[in-house]
Amino acid sequence: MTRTRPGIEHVAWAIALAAGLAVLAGLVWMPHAVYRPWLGACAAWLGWPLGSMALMLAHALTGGRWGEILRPGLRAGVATLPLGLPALAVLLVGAGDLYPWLHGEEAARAANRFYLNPPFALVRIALYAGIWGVLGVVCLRGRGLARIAPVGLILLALTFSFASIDLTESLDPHFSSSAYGLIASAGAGLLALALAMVLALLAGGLDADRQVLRDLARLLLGLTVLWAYLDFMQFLIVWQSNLPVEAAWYGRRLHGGWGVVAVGLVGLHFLLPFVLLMLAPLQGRRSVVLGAAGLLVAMEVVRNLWLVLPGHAAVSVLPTLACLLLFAAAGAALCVRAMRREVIHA
Amino acid sequence: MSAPAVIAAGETAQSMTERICAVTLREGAGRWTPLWWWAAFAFSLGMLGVGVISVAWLFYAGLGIWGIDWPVAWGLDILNYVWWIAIASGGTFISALFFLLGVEWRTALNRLAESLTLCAALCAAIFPILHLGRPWFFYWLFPYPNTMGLWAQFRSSLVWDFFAILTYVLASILFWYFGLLPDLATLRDRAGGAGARLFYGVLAMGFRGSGRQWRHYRAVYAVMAALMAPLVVSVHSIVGMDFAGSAATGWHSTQFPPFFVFGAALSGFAVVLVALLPLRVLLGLQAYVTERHVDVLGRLFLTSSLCVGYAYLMDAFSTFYGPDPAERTMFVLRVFGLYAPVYWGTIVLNILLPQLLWWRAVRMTAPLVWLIGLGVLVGMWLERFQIIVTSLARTQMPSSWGQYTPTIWEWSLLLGTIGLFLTAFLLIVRLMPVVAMAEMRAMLRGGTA
Repeated sequence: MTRTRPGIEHVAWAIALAAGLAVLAGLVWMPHAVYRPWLGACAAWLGWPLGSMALMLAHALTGGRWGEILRPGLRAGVATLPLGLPALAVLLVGAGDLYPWLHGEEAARAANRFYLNPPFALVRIALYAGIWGVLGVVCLRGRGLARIAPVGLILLALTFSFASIDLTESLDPHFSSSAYGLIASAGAGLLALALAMVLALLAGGLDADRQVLRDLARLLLGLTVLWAYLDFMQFLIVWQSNLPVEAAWYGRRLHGGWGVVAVGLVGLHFLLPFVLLMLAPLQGRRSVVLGAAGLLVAMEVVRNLWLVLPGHAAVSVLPTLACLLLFAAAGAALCVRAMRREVIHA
Repeated sequence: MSAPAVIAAGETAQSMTERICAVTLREGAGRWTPLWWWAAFAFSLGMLGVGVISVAWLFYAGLGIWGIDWPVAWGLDILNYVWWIAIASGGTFISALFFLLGVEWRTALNRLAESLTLCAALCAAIFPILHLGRPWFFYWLFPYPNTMGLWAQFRSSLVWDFFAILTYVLASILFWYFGLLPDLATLRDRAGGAGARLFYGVLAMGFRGSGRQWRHYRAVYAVMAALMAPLVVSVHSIVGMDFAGSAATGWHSTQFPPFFVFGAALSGFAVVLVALLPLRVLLGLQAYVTERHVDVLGRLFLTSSLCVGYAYLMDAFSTFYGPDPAERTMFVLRVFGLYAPVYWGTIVLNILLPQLLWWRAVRMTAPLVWLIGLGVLVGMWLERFQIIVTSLARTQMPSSWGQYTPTIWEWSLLLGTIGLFLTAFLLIVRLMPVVAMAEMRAMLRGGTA
């Protein structure tokens, strides 16, 4: 594996600092335009460390070469978990702006106030933070992973499902979909696997073994199909039933410019990667697999923005780019540092 | 190669082939069909006879002999259909999905599992046809040009369900039969009697094991496996959509397609374990179906149960999180009302009981695993009851609430299909090779089938 230079980390931190200052300025001058993009970037990023943990725990149970090859990338993904603290801080400040169920009248009318209320939300946040923190430490230590893997996976499935409901589904407290947590989990797994593959390919970890590259391409294809299946089933049932609340949720995301984004997601989040990863002659090509994995990472970010931004008038391009850049650069810096330590330990 | 883990030490391709052929051909000293087989066959035929009488009376008297009425217009007929088709999935998961994943332990199990799929799919297909009331017009479900200008409603899941089930049943038969060809040829070549040679010779369709035939065989088998894996998911997803697209309380849920796939996997693994554990002893297959197989199946079984548990949790949560008060009322009635024992039976048998499989000692104790498998099969039937009957009995308007009591003709039909399932399975076990010999030989030699 090639050494990751400290220079990359410094550049990433510098970009993160600049983006952070831009976000801070946005929070001061036009906070309403920043909270939603921040949430979108945060929801997309969260899938990285948690999906990486899930893949590490799954590998501890099943074994296989794929997990060994991807381990540095997955550990680096878990190492970005500290980003959760600033992410949470901004979300707590902007919660009143983001979530209608925190407003008195709306909260009093909602049938789901047993769940969507401030004290219980704080309890859940503490629970998520505690469980993810402990699992993150265990994954980074790497000892006894197989022993805690079944319980860890159960905890991750439950906490991530409910966290996705809290973070993004509850933006519209009238919308309810029982498949929401499953879709979010599949998306997180896909993002984490695609990123770990990108890191492994960039670091040269897959150059020697063409068969493992094929196996990983098939695994990525499997997760792509799983995510597409779950998301399409939700869409088909909502379309078929045509109930006002659910149809309105999709309506905001399928009309105008967001409709174009939705079509783009079908083509670039599913069809193109599906074809690239499906064809046997392409599965063993480094550049094709790298391109497909990179595309899936980008589309998973776009999908999260598509979930969060539509229907919000105050959204604009610059704050969205600043938030994305901050998470990407800070995540990259933490990731590079973790990978460098991995190389030093090795 | 880690063959010792999935095949007992000392086994060779020849000893394995001789042992499996002996089970089927029954020549020489052990030529008599064992007594347990005849006893089970007679018992199954008895149950099948009850089913035949039930169907005959249904054809004569009409659907009025069943307990279905408004508001519960879907009773045991649809319930049993959903239950059987879920049971059928186990073979496809083991045979097609794990083939694609290159899992070696599937080799000893796939024949038995596929046979179970075939028998269960046959039982499932009977119910929707009988449910039509005028089953002789079942072909109206096909979208064919007709003088009345009537077409199927393509926007309805029920039409797609018909296509999906038909495709699944046909594909399952083809996959099972195609996989059998090399083994049928082996039986033809080893059979002593002229009758057996003719029987297996005709079924083997001229398979001689030439290099060209093997090349084609492997290519087609891989393609069929790649088709079967999405087919099994599509079948159960569409069964889930039969409910999810409806306005009935308790049915409109976006997780129903994957939830039905989870349930199918749980039922499928349960029936494979229930059938496999006694058969490996009765047929003397312990050398090929080892403790490793039982352990792996137990783990998969537990994982499926956890997935189903997740779906139950999300179902309860989204009922109360969602905006519809009728859904909440129905759920409370489901948990505490007239049919509450069905709900709690489902939870205990499908979720709590399989948790015993966390302990390896339990997974390695065949009678316990067998009982847990049987419990889950009952639990899955109860789950279908609470989804179908409880929901229909407690619709949005309390003035339309009703009660459903299955009649003896519905119970006897269920019994009849269990008889049909066992009869068909016992015949397969007696007449066909119970282990995929060609694939086992390839594995023992260190290659792929």
